[in-house]
Amino acid sequence: MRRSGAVAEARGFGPGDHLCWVFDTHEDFRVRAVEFLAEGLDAGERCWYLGSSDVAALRTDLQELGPVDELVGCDALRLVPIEAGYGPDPAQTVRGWARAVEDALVAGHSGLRVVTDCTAVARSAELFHEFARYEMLIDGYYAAGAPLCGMCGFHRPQVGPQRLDELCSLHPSVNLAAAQPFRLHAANPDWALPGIPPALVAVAGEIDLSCVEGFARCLDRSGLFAGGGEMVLDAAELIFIDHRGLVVLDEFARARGGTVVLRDGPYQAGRIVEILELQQVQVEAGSSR
Amino acid sequence: MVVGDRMQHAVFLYDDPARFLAGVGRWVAEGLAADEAVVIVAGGAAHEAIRGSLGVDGDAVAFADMEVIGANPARVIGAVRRFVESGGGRRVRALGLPMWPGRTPAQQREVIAHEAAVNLAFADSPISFLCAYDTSALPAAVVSEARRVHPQVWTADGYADCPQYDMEGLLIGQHPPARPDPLTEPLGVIVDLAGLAVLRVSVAEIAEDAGLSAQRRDELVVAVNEVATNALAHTAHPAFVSRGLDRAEGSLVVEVATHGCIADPLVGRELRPSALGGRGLWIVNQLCDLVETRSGPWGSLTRLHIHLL
Repeated sequence: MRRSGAVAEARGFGPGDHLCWVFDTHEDFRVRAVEFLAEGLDAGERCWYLGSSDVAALRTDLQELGPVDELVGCDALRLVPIEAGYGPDPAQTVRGWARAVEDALVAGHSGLRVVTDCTAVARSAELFHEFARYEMLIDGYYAAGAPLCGMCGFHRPQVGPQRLDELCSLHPSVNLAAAQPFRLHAANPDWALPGIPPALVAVAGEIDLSCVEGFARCLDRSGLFAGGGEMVLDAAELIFIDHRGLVVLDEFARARGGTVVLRDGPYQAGRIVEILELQQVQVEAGSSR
Repeated sequence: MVVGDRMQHAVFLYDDPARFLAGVGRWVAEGLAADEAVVIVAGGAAHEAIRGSLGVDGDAVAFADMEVIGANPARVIGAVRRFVESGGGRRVRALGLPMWPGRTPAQQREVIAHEAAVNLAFADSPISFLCAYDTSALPAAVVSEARRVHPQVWTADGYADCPQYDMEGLLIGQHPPARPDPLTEPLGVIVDLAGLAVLRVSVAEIAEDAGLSAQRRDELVVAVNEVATNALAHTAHPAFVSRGLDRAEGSLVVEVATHGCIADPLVGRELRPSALGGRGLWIVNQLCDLVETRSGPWGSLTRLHIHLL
């Protein structure tokens, strides 16, 4: 079972986990990167560290991991400028990661573990939209149980509050200091083709007026359910959704000619759908939380 | 009297069951003869008595249970509107028995507020309301209030203007000059939207302490969340939330007060997504057993009642 929710440290993550870490100083990020990667090396995973285009700076960041040159020499650790890891086409980038996972397995590693300082991509007005879509696509790959474990870092001052809120909401795990009221992430048990949106998405947490605009943006950016039909959201961890959130879902579904099903959704969501007679949203197996 | 497409809203004061049933029979027959869509909204025993006395006419009439749709009187306008819209453009004739001796004091006030709101909600609608009040069983003060909120009276002689009708004072009960005494136990002051999640936890706790079922608890949480959200979203003032037990009503009460005012007397009585806060207060009225809204120069407050069983 992959982890979901807010966390205080970057320890205890394994295959399938996808952590978002918002930081105010590079030192904060560096410390978390070291603790995250150290567990990967211990587990026999190949580790990649992506960030600055200055590879020497990446090397310096990881001194505490041990003999960095030796690890790089035997390809247990790669230091990668971010440009080499993220292209403009989200699906192609996901396929690239799937190949990197395969390569790690072929080389005898138990999987791939990646820490990326994504700030340079996330702060770019041109790249942001596709990057947010990429996060949902790659999360579908994580959710399917791929032997991949990732931590995405975002420098708060450079990325800006609205984008940060969206990016945090699109990760199953996030550091406490940046925790969002809700999360929207992949929950598909199977993996079809790298780069295809996940077939099942989970919505968790609480949705009210404080975050409903971000919820609408996340849904739009996710690229989900472009084909319409019945769109199932796993709502087992959805604690609360007010009528505004349900109206967003109703409009999202209507615009795509489909219906949204909140599977295992809260009882109160079903009552609001019933009272407002929302035609494009169904709440299945409602329960009281 | 030429009715045309205008609303009629008449009070029918009676003190004798036989005269009541005879009057209703005549009024219904008139409507059926004019090819009007007739609906009778009455509870329990009255429903049975009317159905029995109408005979074959009863087959052509729709019935709704006032004790269900009108338990919270603020739900009635929406239900009647639905009937109007399903009627295929025919003029509607609606008999209602909104007041009965078991109505609690707060319910009585809200029935009168509802009757006043009917005059605004259906002003331009082709509908005739007949609201029956039993003067032998209801307090004189309630009957006197009923006269003030109906523009017409209906008797065996037909319709006449109601001399006590008071358009100016109609909603006075909802606009007290001074703030009603607050409930005794403060639950919190919500200053921004981040406070809503905290408020929801507090409300769930008091609902559980009061012994509500999980579903009623969740419904109260939704209702309080909607009212507090409206207060924050539309007024830019903090929302003061308090709670209490209303023994006369047999209910757990949560009050949301703010310095902002509520200008629209129909908000929450009909599902109008375009109205400010319209969807939220509509939901609140469907979930709560009674909703009291008061507004004035001092601000506004909304009291949400959930019955304790």
